[in-house]
Amino acid sequence: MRRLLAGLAAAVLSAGAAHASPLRIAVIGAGPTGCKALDSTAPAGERAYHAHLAKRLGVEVLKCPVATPAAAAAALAAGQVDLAILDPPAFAPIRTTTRAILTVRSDGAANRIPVVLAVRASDPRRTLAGLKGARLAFGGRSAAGLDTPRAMLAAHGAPKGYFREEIDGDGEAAIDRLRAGQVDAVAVHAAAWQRVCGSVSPKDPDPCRDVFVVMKARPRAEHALVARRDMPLELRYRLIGIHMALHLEAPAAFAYAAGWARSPAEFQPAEAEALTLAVLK
Amino acid sequence: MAETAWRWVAILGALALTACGKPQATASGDWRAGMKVLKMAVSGNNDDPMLVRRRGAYRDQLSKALGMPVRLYESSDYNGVIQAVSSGQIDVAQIAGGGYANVDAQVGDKVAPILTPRQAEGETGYYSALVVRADSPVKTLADMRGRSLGYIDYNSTSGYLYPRAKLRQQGIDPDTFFGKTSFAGAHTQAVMALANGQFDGTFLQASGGDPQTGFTRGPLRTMARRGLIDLKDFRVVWTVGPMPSEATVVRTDRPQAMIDAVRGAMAALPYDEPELWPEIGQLDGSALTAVNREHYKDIIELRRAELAQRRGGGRP
Repeated sequence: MRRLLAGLAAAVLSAGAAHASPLRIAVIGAGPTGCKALDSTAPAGERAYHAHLAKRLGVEVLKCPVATPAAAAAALAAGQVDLAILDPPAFAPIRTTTRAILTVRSDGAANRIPVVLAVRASDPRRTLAGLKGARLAFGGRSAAGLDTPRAMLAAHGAPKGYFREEIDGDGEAAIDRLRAGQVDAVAVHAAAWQRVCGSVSPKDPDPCRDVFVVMKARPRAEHALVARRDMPLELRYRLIGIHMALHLEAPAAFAYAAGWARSPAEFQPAEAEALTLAVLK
Repeated sequence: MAETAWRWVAILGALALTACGKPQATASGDWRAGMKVLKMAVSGNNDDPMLVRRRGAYRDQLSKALGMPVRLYESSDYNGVIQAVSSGQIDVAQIAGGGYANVDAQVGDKVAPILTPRQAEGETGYYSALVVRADSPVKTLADMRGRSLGYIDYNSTSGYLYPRAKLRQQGIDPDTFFGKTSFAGAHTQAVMALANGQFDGTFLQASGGDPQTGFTRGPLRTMARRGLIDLKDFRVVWTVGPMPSEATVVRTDRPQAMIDAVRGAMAALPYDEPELWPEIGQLDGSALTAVNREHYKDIIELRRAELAQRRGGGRP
């Protein structure tokens, strides 16, 4: 009975301790392993970031040095850390137990917009592989019209030069030229697609029945803040909410936390598979 | 001894269950202690199935995120939402920029904007379009001189506040330029009144594009999709914008943990539910971005100027 009581007491204390669990952030760099609170020698931006998270979450925030992205991924999968910044290769082995929660949008860059690759419905080429060498039209030269579709296609194995590229004024013009047979395929962002193909009348629920969507996907993120899939939903959403406003509320903390991105503008939420080649269609 | 021991087993068991039942995120203390339900205000009626779906999607997402029921308070006019959030009867609201400016004038930093839509091409604003019937002789803004105009609502950004300010900037006094003005109450009513010839033109919200690309969202498109009107029966003669898009606002006297979770959960929706996002009337590729009061400072200034003008005897 004593053993039973002791075991139960330990279990209760352990459960209670879990409530006050610190937030453990993996950071790649040299240093002793194990998670520790920052001391006064830490960079000001890092201290600002930890202080902001600690204040908003009401828990201690710890830094957990790891040697490599792969080590960060392993620590995350093992439950030794709660957050890690990973790239696609580091994420791949742990994708079943972890997920992306945040990415950083660079200054001047578009949202991670879904991109639609489409051909005429009469075209037998229904795969990306089948379209190698095809005449492909992009919808404009803006970040959303050109950079984002190119990034999506390149990640899926169709880099610049894979198609015979043409650049139209906008997505609508590109789709018009596809329909007219002047190009074989279009890669346009989802908003341009919706402007043309979204139903505006119950009499015509499918205005683009003459066009076939080969694939629809967001560009793969180059890096993302990754958490375990079993992280409580509320905690995940609080972390997203806190990070999204970081550039407004704590600029020094943002500069540190997003310092791994090029010209960081803001944190954005991310889908679980942001670091993979997942497709929406 | 045995009885005492089993009593301890029961007590420890109860403690363990209590501990296990609380999610990790409440480690900072249960911010829900004073909240049994999240109250969210939305304007508009239930005539538009897409609007109903959108509200349902937000309610479900927030309820899931916060672990508490979310009660929607619907108001058929702008002022209902403004007064509800200003008085603290509700916690969260979705409100036009002009409406937020009105709230700001009433209660200042007791209410703060936390999110606004960011469109695919990066815009965080929308437009006001002066719309006439396709068979109208009115071809330009100048042709509207002396003709009747339907505003939407005194608290409407695109249907009142912003176009009036832009007219003044062009040297046109909106209080004397039009022959007769009235308030339709809402965009849907304005379109119906325009179709029925009750006035010659009205200012309608237009978004999901720009004057060059065309627009994919707005009351004309919504009503056309529902089969209530034909887009060919209307014509845009003038547009102004962009103006800051609608805001999701929160009461700042609510727990910060709730505010953070609301911001995160709502913003995650297009990524968590990518197929649902366009189905609830949001432009595919759009997302929500964090904002603060600074984002609306121009609209707040316009509202101040409008109030001053009104006190000076302007109409309607």
